Amino acid sequence: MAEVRLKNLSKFFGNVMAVDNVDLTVKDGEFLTLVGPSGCGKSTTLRLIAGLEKITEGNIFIDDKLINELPPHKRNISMVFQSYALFPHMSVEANIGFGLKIKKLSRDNKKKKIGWALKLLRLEGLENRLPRELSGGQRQRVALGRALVLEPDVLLLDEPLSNLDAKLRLRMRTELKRLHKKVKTTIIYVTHDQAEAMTLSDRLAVIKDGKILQLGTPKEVYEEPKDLFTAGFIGSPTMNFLPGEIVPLVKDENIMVGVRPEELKLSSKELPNSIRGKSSVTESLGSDNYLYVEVSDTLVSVRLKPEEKVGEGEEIWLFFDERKVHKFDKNTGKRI
Amino acid sequence: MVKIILIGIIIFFIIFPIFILFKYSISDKDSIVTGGKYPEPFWPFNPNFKMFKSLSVRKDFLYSGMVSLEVGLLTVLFCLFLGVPTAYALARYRIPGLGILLFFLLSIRLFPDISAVIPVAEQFFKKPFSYLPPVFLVALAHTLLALPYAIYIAKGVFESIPKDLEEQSQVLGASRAYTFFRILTPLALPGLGAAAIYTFLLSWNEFVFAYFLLFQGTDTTLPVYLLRILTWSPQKNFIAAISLLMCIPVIIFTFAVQRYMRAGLTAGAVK
Repeated sequence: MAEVRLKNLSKFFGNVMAVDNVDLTVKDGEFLTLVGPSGCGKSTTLRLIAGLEKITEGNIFIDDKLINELPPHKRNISMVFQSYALFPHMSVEANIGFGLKIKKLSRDNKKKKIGWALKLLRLEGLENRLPRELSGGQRQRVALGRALVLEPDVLLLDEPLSNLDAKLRLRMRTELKRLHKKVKTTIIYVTHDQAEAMTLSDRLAVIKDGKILQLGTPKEVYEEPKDLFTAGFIGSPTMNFLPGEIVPLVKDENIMVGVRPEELKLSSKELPNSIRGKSSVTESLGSDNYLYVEVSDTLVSVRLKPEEKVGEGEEIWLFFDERKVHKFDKNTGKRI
Repeated sequence: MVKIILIGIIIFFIIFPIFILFKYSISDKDSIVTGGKYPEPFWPFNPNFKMFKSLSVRKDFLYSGMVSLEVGLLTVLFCLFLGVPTAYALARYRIPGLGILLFFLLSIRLFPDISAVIPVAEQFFKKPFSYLPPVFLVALAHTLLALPYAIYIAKGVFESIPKDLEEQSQVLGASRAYTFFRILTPLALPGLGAAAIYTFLLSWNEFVFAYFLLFQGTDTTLPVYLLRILTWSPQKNFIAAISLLMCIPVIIFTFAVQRYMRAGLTAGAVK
């Protein structure tokens, strides 16, 4: 368990700036997620922490120890790759015990630790199987076990759930949360899936173009996004954005108004300070229904109450609590 | 139907020469020396293994076999020792001008052996090369010939091993060297086995360099021995027996190395 500090961290690949002057402190035992679209620099940041890429500028500290020049195998970190990278010629037991063997642990000690990992990840009985004889979920658990068994200061996870099917992904999400509660290691997690970031993290950092746009708890980032991109990235279905001029009570063309589907309410009659629109399709997700409404030339999603039913092509009025609305400057994208 | 016929024809063309070789090797004198009085029989009158028996005690033949084996194994050793690290570097590191480098590497083989042999032999007869035993020099020459291919094959092998595995190994605490020997090498063995077989085969069959580098002394490799024998106009059965015996070590070597060449070795590593 350790604190990780990134100070003025930058990484250039030739002329391309992948990581742009990042400042970040990951608290001891915290589960912090770097979330953002593909190519935003989150994986590169992780690899810099691991030591798999050379730092261009800046410093990385683990518990106040500067680790810039340390090769990966000398930092007390563990990493799980998106591809799991299981050693194909070694059994599950040998894979999990790989790092322990390097540390020259005694045979009994090794067996004990491997047994602990097998139990923790529910892999008992699979010790002698080869990676090609395992399912995707099993492989992923072996990769996790292999990393956890070393009791690293920091555990780095690079999109570990991306290769799993949707149902398994949900199961593994809860599994990861359970693991973190039990093992209490500092975890830095990278994903492009905002749902994963929201459900797993103690704090998350939204990253775009190599910069951290916002750092905060899932609640903070969801309820008070600091800029347009973060507001549109976090939350599913995405936040609706309406140009300020068509929103009564705002009527400012320099402002972009953001409002979440669940914050919108419907009325079949015109109400003061409501917006007119035409109903379109309804998406039913089982537990929630979302109605899409054409407003000027955008499509706005509204969460319907279970008993609400709206047909297509009807004239409809949207209104909301103006205290709950998010206002952003159209030019800078920043929250007002 | 047409497929069966085509396969049959191909098998025929492969098997038939071996059959002829075998047939001659076990022929008795009357079956091959006809004097024009009667046609050569399809199958010898009195097939026997006399030729093989006499060859098995012929010192010069056995000695040539030993020399060929030594040269072959030395060549494989040199090629792997030099080629594997080179191939690894070419596969994993970003080297400026890589394409040009590879081109030059392969273009060595575009140069005709005959043109190259005189200058090479000239150098090898001078000091410091002249201090080395002839077997060594032939192996060195064979290394020149085989190394480009060995590097190319080995490079392909390393490129087929996912880079993730090496990075994962390092992140779990393994130094680069540990990673190379414990992770990379076992996975590279099948491909390297192929490179070894190819190198051995090249050396075993090679005539030109072996001849020019050995003619001053008494050592011979098997191809050179064959030439020497031919100058004495030997009988067909004798030559056929030698030729057949020359095939055997290659087959043995191939089977020995093949044990390490199991396909699908990297299955399950990366999704």
